[in-house]
Amino acid sequence: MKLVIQNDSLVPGFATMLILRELGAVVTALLLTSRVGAGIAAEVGLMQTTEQVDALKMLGIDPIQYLVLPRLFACVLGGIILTIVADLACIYSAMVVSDTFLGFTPGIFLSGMRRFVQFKDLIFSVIKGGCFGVVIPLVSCYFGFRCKPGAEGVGSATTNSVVTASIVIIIIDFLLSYLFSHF
Amino acid sequence: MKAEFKVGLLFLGSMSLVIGFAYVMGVINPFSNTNTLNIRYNYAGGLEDGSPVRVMGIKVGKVRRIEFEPGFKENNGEEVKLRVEIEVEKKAWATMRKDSKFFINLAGVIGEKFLEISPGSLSAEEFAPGDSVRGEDPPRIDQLISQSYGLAGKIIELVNKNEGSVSNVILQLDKLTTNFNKTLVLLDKTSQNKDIARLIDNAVKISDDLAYLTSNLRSKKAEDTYALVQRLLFRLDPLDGPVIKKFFQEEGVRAHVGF
Repeated sequence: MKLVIQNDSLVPGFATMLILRELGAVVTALLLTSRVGAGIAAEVGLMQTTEQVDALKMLGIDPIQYLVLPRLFACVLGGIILTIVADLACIYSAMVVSDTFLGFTPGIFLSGMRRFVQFKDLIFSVIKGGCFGVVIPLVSCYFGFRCKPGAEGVGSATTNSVVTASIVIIIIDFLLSYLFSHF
Repeated sequence: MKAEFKVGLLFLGSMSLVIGFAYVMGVINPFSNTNTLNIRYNYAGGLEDGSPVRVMGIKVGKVRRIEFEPGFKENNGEEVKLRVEIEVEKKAWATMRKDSKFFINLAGVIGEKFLEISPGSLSAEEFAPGDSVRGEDPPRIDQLISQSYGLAGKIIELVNKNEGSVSNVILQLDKLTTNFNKTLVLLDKTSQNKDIARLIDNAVKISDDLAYLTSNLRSKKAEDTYALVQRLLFRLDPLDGPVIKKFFQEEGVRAHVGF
């Protein structure tokens, strides 16, 4: 900050804005992708290679409804909740760091934060978290259903799902940030 | 502990965090201790919803909403089309009086707009919650700059049109300054001349003598003399001119006497 404007009085506002508008939701979604998305891709991929999906179809159960939808709802809810927790944990951490290293008391930090940030920024962050929560199971299940037989196929599906979901998350983040900049 | 219970706990935790954030941001305030006041402007100068309100430099509230009221008129007939509703903490409410001024000011590096309230005098009445008051419109910097541009353009145009006259005036001024400088140098040299110094010295002595004389003329003795002369003239006034003439002639004095 000092490098840019020779003044660190804007650190609380800028840090909070950056956390709420970008970092909180994106970092949480990337972590979710690598943790949950990889798990989903591996699980569905293994089910596909061991013909469990075909068995479901034979039993008259729609694999999309049985495998994808619950994961979709869970990921959306998880994305929203974890984004909120991540945002506020980040803001709290920023407050502690500012207090320790820059001398901003919590009161000054919150005052600076209010100058830049509005409640709608948290709402935007939550919407982003929800959208990323949609992306993760869809991409993971897509690669899981197209998994090639064997351990190599499962590994490949997992890797591809994480890479693709991460890229899609970043693209969606860009689009949503552009959209929210109009509000 | 079941996974569903953990998820529920996490959900409740995150909701409480959102509510806490909303409270910190001032979106919800269940322990509100504020009164509202309406301030009317014709130009709000970039004030926004949520901008801080300060009394004597201390933040005591915020702008709740800004609304357009095109048909509103003050009691004196002035049209004021903008209503700014503010909330002010009750602890600062008594410092605001009917003669308080409501300014829109700038603060901070980024030029944050805030509403500054000057404290009123104790003799003035307090506001009642929800009262309406006329604020001081901030100066239109953009208009000033625009007008300055216009003025500068006109000056340039004037100079361009009368380029010869302007350069002539400047030339004359230059000559005048040069001549004035020369005069000053001469005066400086003259003041160092011995004869002039003696002349000035004599003038000072003469002025001292005159001062002494005039002070004597204002003395009591002199005033008595004036009175005596006045009385003598008064007595001489009715005398016949020819008689006085004859008297002087007899005394061998030629005089023209005319009354």
